[in-house]
Order: sequence, then structure tokens, then C-alpha cells
Amino acid sequence: MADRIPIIAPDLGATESPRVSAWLVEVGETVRAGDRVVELLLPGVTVDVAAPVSGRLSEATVPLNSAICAGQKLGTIEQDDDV
Amino acid sequence: MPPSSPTTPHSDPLEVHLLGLVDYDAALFLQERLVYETSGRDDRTGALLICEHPPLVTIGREGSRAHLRVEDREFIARQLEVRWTNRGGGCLVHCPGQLAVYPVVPIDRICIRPADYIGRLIEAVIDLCTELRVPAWPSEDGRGVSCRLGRFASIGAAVRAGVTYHGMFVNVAPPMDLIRLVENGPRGERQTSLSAQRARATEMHAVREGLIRHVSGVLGYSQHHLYTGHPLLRRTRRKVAISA
Repeated sequence: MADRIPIIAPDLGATESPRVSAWLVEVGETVRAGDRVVELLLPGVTVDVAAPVSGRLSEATVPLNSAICAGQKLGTIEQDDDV
Repeated sequence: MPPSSPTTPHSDPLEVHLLGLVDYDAALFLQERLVYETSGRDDRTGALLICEHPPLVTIGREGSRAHLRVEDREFIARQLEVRWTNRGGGCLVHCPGQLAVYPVVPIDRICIRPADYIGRLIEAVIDLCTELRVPAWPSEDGRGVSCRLGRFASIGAAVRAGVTYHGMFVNVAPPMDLIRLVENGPRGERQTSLSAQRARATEMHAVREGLIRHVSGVLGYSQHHLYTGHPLLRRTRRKVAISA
């Protein structure tokens, strides 16, 4: 069974919670390590979060416009190094 | 990444490109290319693009069509294209007289977190205003700089692979009828310009020079190299409509 690797929200250094402003990949699509997967929004700046491994996005845990915190799981990638 | 603190000056330079009047798409292409190159390096060299754009409207992730103050046909009549972009910030009209400042900087490697990066851009504008004797402060929504007459600088940045792009826009002396075609954010703060606040002409080159110095400083660059143009940009001619 493929490893399930979480996509973790980085610490953006903000006092207010960032929001998820866009999922750049749909569930089921394949990604390569480093591809942009989800975009977070702070006042005045968007921050792309990259895929930690290659594989298939199996789960987008956090819906659009939800507030998140650093270290929170945003989604899951089923690792597949052949992608 | 360690917590952000006053950045220690470092020896890697900031490559500053003065681009003049540049099409928005060309400037975006150049930024994306520089992001790609910068993210593949392991030093702290960054770039700063400074330009003006022909008239167009961009809507950032915090903007919506509700912030457009006139009907679509008005934008069409004025030959103003409306573009959705992936930067932060709200709706902005770009036009000559407004300085676009695009730092392409590896903030991961200079240990600045995204929220702090925005604070530092705001600090650079306020430092510039201190030199110009314009009292200025961060806008209420935290993504611009305001003075007594309203907001004159707006932040709309993005970070990809630890490298910044997009940036900030400073109204030096743009045609305000164009700038006010959109509301810049949900609170709809009045927009103004440095020239209006100072009640006299403000030289673009003075603002440009001050911003280069202060942006370099707040991002911890102890040296910068200045270039006019960029080898990847080709000079072309295009007719644009600007109301007299």
C-alpha cells in the first residue's frame, strides 16, 4: 500500500490565521514533489505550499476559505515515486 | 525557518532592474522566470524590478468584482483590461505615474517569514515618506500605506518556492480618475497619491531611488547593482489610451 504523506501548513509568521485561497490541484490528480498544491492567503500576500513527495492527491482536508494554523494537515498525498 | 528578526546584512547583492514602462504580462513573465532561477540557487542574491504599467486593472485574491466601481462597458470604453491574478491584496488600477515594485527575493534563505515580509515593505515606504516629509502609517487592513488624504501604496505580493514575486504599487502621480475606478479592498479606503499629499509635483526618479535604498535596507541587502532594462525584455511599441 502506498505511503500517505500529509501536506502540512507552514508557519507564515502571522498573528492572524491564514486562509486557504485556492487548491491548485484536484483530488485524484498526480503531482511531483515541489509542485504547487495549495495556496494560502494572508493580508497582502499569497503563499504556495508545495507537494512534499510525488504521488496522487488523495484528500484535500481543508476547504476553500477556511482559516488554518501552522502545522495543520491540509491534505494527503499517496506517494508514488513513478509519477 | 527561524523566527524573523531584524535581518543581518549580508553580502549577496540585490540586482535592481529599472524597466521603465512595461506591459504587465511581460513583467509577470520576467518575475516568474526570476523566481524559477532564484529558487534554484543556494545564495541570497535577489532581484528588484521597478517599472510602470500601461493602464489595466488587476484583481488580487482579496478583491472581487464588487470592488469595481463602474460597469464593464466603462472599462471597455477606456480600453482597460481586467485581469485576475494570484497575488494578495485587492483590486488595483495600474497606469503610468504609479510605481510597481517587484522584489524577487529568497525570503526563506534570508529568514524572513511572509507576514514579516509585508511589514518590511510597508516599513520601506514609510521610511521613504519620512524623507519626503509625508506623515504616513500602515493602512488599517495591513496591506498598504496611508497618509492624511488616503491610501497611496498597496501591497499585493506572492511567495512561491520560498521566493517572493508581485509586490507593491506606489501612487506617485497617476491620473486619479483611473485609480479610483476600483475600491482597493472591502473597507474602501479613499485612494490618493504622493503628489496630492505633498501638494506639489513629486519626481518619479526620487521616489524610485528612495524605494531602492529602503527596500534593500529592510530586506538586509548591504549592496545592490543597478541596471536599466533586462536582457529578457524586448522593447516594443504599443498605443495605449490615457485620458488627458
